[in-house]
Amino acid sequence: MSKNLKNLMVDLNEKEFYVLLRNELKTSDPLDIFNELQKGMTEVGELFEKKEYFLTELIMSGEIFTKAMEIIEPFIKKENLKKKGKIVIGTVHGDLHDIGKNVFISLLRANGYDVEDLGVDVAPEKFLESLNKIQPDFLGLSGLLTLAFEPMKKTIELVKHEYKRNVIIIVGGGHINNEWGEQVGADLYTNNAAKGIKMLNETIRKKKSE
Amino acid sequence: MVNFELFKDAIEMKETDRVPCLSTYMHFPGIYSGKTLAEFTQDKKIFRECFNKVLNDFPSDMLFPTSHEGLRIHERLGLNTPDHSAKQSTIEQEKYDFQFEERKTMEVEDYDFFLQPKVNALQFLTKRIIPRSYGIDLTDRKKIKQISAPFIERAMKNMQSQDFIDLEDDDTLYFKYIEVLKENNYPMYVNGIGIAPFDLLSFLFRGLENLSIDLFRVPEKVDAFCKKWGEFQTMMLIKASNQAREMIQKAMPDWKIDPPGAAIFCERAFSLSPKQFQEFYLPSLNHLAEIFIKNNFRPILIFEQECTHLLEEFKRLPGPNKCSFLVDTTDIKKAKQILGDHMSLIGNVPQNLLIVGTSNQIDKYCKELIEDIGSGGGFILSPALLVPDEAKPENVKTMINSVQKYKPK
Repeated sequence: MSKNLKNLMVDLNEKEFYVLLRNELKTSDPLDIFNELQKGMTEVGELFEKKEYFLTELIMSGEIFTKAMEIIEPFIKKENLKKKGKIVIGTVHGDLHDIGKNVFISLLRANGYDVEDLGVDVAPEKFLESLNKIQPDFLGLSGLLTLAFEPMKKTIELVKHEYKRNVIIIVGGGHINNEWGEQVGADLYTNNAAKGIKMLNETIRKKKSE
Repeated sequence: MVNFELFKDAIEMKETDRVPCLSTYMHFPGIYSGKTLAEFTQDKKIFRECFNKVLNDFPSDMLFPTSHEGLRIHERLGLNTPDHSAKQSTIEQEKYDFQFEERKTMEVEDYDFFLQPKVNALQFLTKRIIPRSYGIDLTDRKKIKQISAPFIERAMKNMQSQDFIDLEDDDTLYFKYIEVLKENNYPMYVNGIGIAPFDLLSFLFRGLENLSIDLFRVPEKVDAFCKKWGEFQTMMLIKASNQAREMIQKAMPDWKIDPPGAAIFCERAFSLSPKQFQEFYLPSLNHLAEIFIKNNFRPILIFEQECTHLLEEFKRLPGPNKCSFLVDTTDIKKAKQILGDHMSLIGNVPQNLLIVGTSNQIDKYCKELIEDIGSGGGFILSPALLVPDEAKPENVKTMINSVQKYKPK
């Protein structure tokens, strides 16, 4: 398996990437290709965290990954695509912004998570309903505006009170700092999508080693 | 208590005995007085009472009132259409203002349409953007005509009319602000308003996600679009701002402000790499800022979110001492190091700290800002962008009091 596919992805060299992808599909195991793509997305995330890549590059890499998956997915048996975990995610009640959430979702998918996206302006009860139905490992609450504080807090209070299973709650958004995360009662909190993925991966790793 | 001279000295990079404090409010005054959004924004008497109470309880050196209503440029351009507009979320309509809902109204092929020499900005709006905003099929010429004819007529009339900005209409929040400022003896410093042309392409036409991809797939078209659109947008904004200044000066003859400020919102720069910023964002922004300066305004560049990685690029903005930089979550210490000789800095008590922090945390943060960033002048203490509606009143008070308590090193 050539490593160039991963490098082309990290370089965001779309044209050469798709040519090589189609060629690789003729000779390589699609699952190996998928793993290479995941490695590419991980590297893009690391570059974003190091502030060598910025939001536009993160969005472009997500676009390349999504398109690549449309090409290779029909060649992969579903049971071979092992999922790391499930997450229910949405922008909290009152907030209509979704760019941060969408970027996080594309990173989640690239990292092998099953994602249930509830959209924007999601009422606490809707989050609860979805938790009961899907029983995910994680609940993700997103919010860009300062008004997101109260709805995040209310949603977490409702979930902690009414949801009978274990779920790790992560909150994300531009205004989120330690105090915000602690005061709304989240288990994990970040204002950086790539860091958020690391937190989730680390939680999964710890869970497995227990 | 107003201290305009102190504010003006600091914004013009002069060294001052103490750092001035600027407060910018949206709906905090209404919430602080326990009023609903509707009561605060629609009832003139309540609006005045709430603002007067805030100015009495939290007296800062300068005040920037603000509102999503602003100068309603988009409405005057006919862009406030049923589908493409500010929207309210399903809850809290009593409490919160509108949020802008970003939608794609421009397809990637439309770059070529707009970039044809014979197509001007109005034709682009009426033949592409407005029909899409109304959900009209672009092949339905009859319907497009029905929509675009009144739009062109209105836009042309507005552009030519003397009252492009109808500030005599005392129902606008803008006019209510002027009344409150007059009553409390504050000047209206910001007379002009602008937005970076790249941001308009992002917000109104392509959306941030599509535009980010365009930067890789059709970079030369994005660049050409920003330049061509920027010319039109600059012309419209300068016209609106000149008229607003004239009206404000008529309404507040006791205040001779020379030059007044022009707030230029730069909301999407944070998403770009330094190279992208230099290539796609800066040329049309610099054009806008330079035309404002030529028209005797001082641009206040409001770079939202974290732009620390762009600070070296900001040295290419007009200067020295021609603009000011309102800092949101950018590292203000680095901004001082890199831009300290180039432009004055305003900022940056974090909004999240004003909401969830303690008074002690606010006091500590402000002390550091005043002592470090205030050193050598050219600094105004202010919240990062504005006092959030949900801020704890005791935190706002601590922020305002800190300028009396601490001195620049």
